[in-house]
Amino acid sequence: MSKPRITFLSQDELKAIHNASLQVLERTGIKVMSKKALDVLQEAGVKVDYEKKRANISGDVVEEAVKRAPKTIKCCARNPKYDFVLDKKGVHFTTDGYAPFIRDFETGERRSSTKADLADWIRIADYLSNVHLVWASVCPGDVPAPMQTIVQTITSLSNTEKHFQGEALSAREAQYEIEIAAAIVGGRNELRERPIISAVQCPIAPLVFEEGSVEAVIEYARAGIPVAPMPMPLMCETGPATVAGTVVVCNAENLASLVISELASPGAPVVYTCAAGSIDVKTGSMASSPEYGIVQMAAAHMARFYNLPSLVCGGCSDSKLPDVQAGFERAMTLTTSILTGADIIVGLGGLNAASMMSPELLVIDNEIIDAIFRVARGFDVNDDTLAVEVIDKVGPGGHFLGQRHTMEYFKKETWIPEISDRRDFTIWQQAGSRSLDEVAKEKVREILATHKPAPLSQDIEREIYQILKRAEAEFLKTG
Amino acid sequence: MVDPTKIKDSVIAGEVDEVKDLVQKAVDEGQEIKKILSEGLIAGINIVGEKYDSGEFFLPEMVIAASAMKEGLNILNPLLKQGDIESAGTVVLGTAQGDIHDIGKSIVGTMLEGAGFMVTNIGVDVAPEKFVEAAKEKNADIIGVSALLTTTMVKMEDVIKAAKEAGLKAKVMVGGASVTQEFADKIGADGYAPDAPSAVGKARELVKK
Repeated sequence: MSKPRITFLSQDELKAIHNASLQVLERTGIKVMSKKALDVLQEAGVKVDYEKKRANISGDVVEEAVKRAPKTIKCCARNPKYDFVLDKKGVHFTTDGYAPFIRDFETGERRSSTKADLADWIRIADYLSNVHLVWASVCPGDVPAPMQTIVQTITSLSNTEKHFQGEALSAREAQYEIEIAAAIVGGRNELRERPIISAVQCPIAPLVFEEGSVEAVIEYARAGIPVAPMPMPLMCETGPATVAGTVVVCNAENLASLVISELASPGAPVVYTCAAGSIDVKTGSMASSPEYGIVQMAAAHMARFYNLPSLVCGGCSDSKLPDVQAGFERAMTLTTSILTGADIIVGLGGLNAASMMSPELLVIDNEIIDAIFRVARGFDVNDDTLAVEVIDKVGPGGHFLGQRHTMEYFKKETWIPEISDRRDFTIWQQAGSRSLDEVAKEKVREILATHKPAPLSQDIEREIYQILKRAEAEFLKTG
Repeated sequence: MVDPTKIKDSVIAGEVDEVKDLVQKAVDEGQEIKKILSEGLIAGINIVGEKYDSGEFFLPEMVIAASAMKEGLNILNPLLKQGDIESAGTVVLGTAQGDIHDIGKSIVGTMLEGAGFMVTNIGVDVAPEKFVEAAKEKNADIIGVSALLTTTMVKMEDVIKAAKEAGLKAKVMVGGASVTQEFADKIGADGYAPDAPSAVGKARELVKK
């Protein structure tokens, strides 16, 4: 099978990015706001300044961590049919996040998202064939702030049979999440064997590791939960103005987080991750720009350079509605990220720089991915596909529609859209002149009316309820 | 004895040679021609139509099933008695004068044959009087005129005029990439269909009128 792939950084350029990142880690170092994490680093011989909360990591420590890190990572799901492996052989998708707003698909209005919106969102994601793992894309804004992470986790795991990628803002939150996931799979050891959750933990660019988040990283490492440390330096603002410089900051943050994970627990599963990009230089806000696309590509290359599984972004948009801008921005970055060959791509369904989620757009993204997959799949070149026999049979001026060869291949070789309209104008007009987002809305209604993922068992629900109550007592001081 | 259900299944599967063999065998066995037709070929093509409408089948499956149907009909037609089959209608099909695009109308022709029409394909770059001549000779119910180009679709109007002048009963149906319902109305065509599958429905409608 001949598959189109984008590779553009030379081995020398990859090494140059690597060397520059090592220099940054040793010379500039990282700021770590957690004593616990600084202890982990110091115990391994890393130079630590507790007063400045600074750690200067040398190249040999980084290289040892890269060696220890697993080269493939298993991501399991409540339903084993949704298990997948990050092994550079296939790309997996998840939704964008974490947004405080949802674009109500019935009214088109932006409003604060709720727990009910999250449950609906997860059910839609559970239904769609190109969503392989779910993110709690919209925040449950109607839940007290200290409980939102825990509620996100429970709501997500209750409404999908797929793998859930969450986040934790503190070690305690991470512990609760691990407990919830363990309750579902039947224990801690079972969870280590079958991690049905993973976590995205963002450093603060440039080069800062916030206390709660980095301590959560340590908890996850020790529990065998895969962590995707998500650097987000933005060109001109939290990263240098150059693409290469921002890739260096992104790479350094990845390597630093990898060091912390591997020191906390050798062999801890870590996914090389990137959400770096650029700002809109007019306003300073995050932009779903072409540079954003090319940084993801560079990051996917760097992951390959280290032979680590990767997660990059694709499909995000700055638009406020499912319009042409949203379509071109997401198709651009999805195409580049898919053709570069990352293991996970995050960004489906998001608008306005991931601050607002759109259910109908999630359905449209599922379709866009399908089409790009067709490009990425490439084609076979062999005697049968070269088709000399059937070309001769049909002859000049004939057509291939009625041929057995056509019957054999047309479904394999041509992509058949599910919701895009390819009909003639008249037929489209007679059917109501609907735009793609209107068709997608109809699909959202249909999914929400009919799709019911298998619920958790009553025993597990009861156990999770107890965990929720304990968390409430702790975080809301209601106990 | 060949079970007509087997013929039906072969039509659905688009097994052209198999349909030919089975129909010939059924004829040789002395089976009732009407039964081979209705329970075999027609039953099969009807299911193919349903599957297409529901989105399960695609154009290649429609066309190959129609080809299989046609092969079967070729065997049965000489043996059919008056009243054995109510032909869906007779169609004379060609591409407008000055236009040599062939494939579109041929696909329409295959689909019409699959739907039980008697189709005569008179080729490309056909002068209006040739359409009239062929329609007279075949006693056609429908004259189908195809044109891909905006420069040749104007010739469709000449076919309509010629048919009227000759006092033909045949209705004129037009189609092709540049043709629209508005254009069809403007030149006084009796029918228009935007694609091959809907041409079959339109042809049925025109025959009933």
